[in-house]
Amino acid sequence: MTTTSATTTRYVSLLGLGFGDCGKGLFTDHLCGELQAHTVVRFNGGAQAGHNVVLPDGRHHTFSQFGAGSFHAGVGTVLASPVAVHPTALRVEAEALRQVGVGDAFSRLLVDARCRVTTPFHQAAGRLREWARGASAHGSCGVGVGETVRQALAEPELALRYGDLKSPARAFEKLEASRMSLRRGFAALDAASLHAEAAGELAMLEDASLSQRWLEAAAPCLRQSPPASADEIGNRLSRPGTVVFEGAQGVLLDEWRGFHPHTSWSTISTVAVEAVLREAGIEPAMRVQHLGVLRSYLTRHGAGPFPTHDAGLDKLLAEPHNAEAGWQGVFRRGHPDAVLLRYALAATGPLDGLVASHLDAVDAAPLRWCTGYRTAEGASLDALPFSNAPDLGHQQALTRLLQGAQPLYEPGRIATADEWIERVQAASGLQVRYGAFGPTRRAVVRCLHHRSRSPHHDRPTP
Amino acid sequence: MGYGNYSHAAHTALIADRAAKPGSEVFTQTATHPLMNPHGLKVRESRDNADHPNSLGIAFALDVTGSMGDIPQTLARRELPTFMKLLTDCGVADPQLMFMAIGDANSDQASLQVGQFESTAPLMDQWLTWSYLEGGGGGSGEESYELAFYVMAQHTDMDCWVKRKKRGYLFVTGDELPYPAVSRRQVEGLIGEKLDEDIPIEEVIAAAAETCHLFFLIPDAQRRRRCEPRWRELLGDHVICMDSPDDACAVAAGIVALTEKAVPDLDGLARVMSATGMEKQRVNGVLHALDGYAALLDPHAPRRAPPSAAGSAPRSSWWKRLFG
Repeated sequence: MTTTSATTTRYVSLLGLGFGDCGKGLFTDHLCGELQAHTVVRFNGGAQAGHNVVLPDGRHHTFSQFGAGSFHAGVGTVLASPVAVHPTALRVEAEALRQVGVGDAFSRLLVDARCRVTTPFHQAAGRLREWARGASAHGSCGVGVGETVRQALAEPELALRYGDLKSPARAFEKLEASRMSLRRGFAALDAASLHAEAAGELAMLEDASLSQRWLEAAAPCLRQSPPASADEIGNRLSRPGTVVFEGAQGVLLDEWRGFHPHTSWSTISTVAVEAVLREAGIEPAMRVQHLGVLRSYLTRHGAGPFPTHDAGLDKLLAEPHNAEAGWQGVFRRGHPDAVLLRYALAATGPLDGLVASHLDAVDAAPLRWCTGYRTAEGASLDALPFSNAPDLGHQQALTRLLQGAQPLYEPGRIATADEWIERVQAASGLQVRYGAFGPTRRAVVRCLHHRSRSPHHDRPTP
Repeated sequence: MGYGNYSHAAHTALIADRAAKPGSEVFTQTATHPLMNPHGLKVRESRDNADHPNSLGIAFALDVTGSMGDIPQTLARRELPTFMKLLTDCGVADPQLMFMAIGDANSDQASLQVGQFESTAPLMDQWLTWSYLEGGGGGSGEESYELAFYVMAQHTDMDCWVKRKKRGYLFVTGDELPYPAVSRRQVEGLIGEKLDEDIPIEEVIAAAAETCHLFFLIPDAQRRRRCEPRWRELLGDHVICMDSPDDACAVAAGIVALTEKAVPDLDGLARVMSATGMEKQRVNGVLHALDGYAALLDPHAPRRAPPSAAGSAPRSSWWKRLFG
């Protein structure tokens, strides 16, 4: 392990290259230890993130808003401005963390005053909207993050910012105006025909007492972590040492690059990371090490195209922390897909390397390497057309294309983790820096590219 | 990704919170609700609309000091629907209700709270339960009732008056005296507007009476002695002494129904009240409270027999338990 210079700050970002669930929690936890990081920055998404960290002693936490480095003493979390903050969920999560031995999460948290805030009304409206889509559901998490962003774009004057919560009167006015506006949007809705629980969600939008009660419930969060100014954020991010940027979701769900409409209102790219640094007055050029995060196979929650989906993998590959109950919907597994990998790399921006989780799955299941598709029209395809300008029409066309695509596989299964790494490195032109062969940081091995990639001697005993 | 358990738990807790609340916690404000803070108050409007073409503005200014907090409680828990149902059953077309809360501007934090006119029960209920029942009050034997008249005179605009020259209603509940004048200092502090001088209570009542029928409701016979004479000087027969604070809604509805001639007389009102399933004793209590006012409207109507001593005693034991 090298020590960092005492006068410079090193930035490392972890950017998911799939549909999510690629191991960002594990690698954030690992890198915070390996690089002695002092801060984890969340720069996209919101409370729908679920980054699992399992400690060697068996403790487990699914990180939603607190940084996945929080098990390391003193590692702070910054929720940077594009994040949609959910104050009451922060309280619940802090309590969950307390129960696994992290009692000071709030005192290590900085929330940018400019962060948009997710409220019960956004959750209710988001769910109603998703139900109203019926069979063409987008695959929402039901948390309200998308609705928070949607309303902030459509009605910026109603957007509640974390800093607004310092003034309850002002916050209340925005909350009520936001509730009224959302309620008007569903005025013509026939809740009963929509979903058994729709009336309950609608009742939240009708509940004139909820704004006040929510403000009261959020108040302790404000007291423990008052809104941070741009200067405070900047100071934190320039502190000498290492800062880890923990991406939420995966780039295949990116609001502009994902397969519309099955996307998340969240940007997952090197640009998003660097924008946060610039916003904090730090010129990021050459200083950020961007790492793409992959799982050895692809996974996807809920709706949306997934060409290499293979239900046969389900019983071979356990998934202890991704329950299928609730809003996120069915958890699907599929084979590694070079087409989507190349697309993800183009969408994410220039990377410095890769990290890969679940490499033990290569032994556990017959994973096959998808090199291309046969489209519904019978054509072969080994890359997806990439639109340089954001264009949802283009993204929707990609969705249709993927939905009709049959995967074309290399013959035979991927025999070893080494072979998987070779294929990924060949397809991406990037080195796999770290690989994980199990759920804890102890299962992470450094993959040194200048020697034979045979991590077995480093592999921890179970 | 695809998580959300903490947010689900957070929101579930918020919803469960309300369901689990005992009735005594209907009023949860611990300070003036931001939307009821009169600072910067412009005008509270009671307007006609497609659903309510004949709006009738009705304001309740509830004394929320220690001795009077039970009237808002009773209203919120039970009586607001009674009020609306009585008005509807009597044929009063489109009532629009506004709640104000009155305390003591010399000793209370929240001495004036002002809601908005609403025509649906849930929204009326919202403003009512947003009222902060501070429970203070001074020891001077006065509360700042004059501020209610001031708000009514200066800060309301009602289509019933503007379009139809029909006056709205202001019901003030209370058991103490008003201060002799609207204090310019208090108006500046509370509402944020400057007056040239204090306004004597008589003047502000006269101003409010231009667009409103004004009534002062005294909760029960025990409370009369202290304040009734002064209020009689100010409002004459529009001082209504009730048998029980529980009757405030029915009494107010009866006053509106009689004044609007939606019912011909007290007997007509009695029939409507009985038809709603109201107990006979309670109907009698309401009629008793309204007797003097009804006679004023129709001097030729036969006066009702004075009720028995038992009938005039406070009926509800909780009232006695709390304040007896």
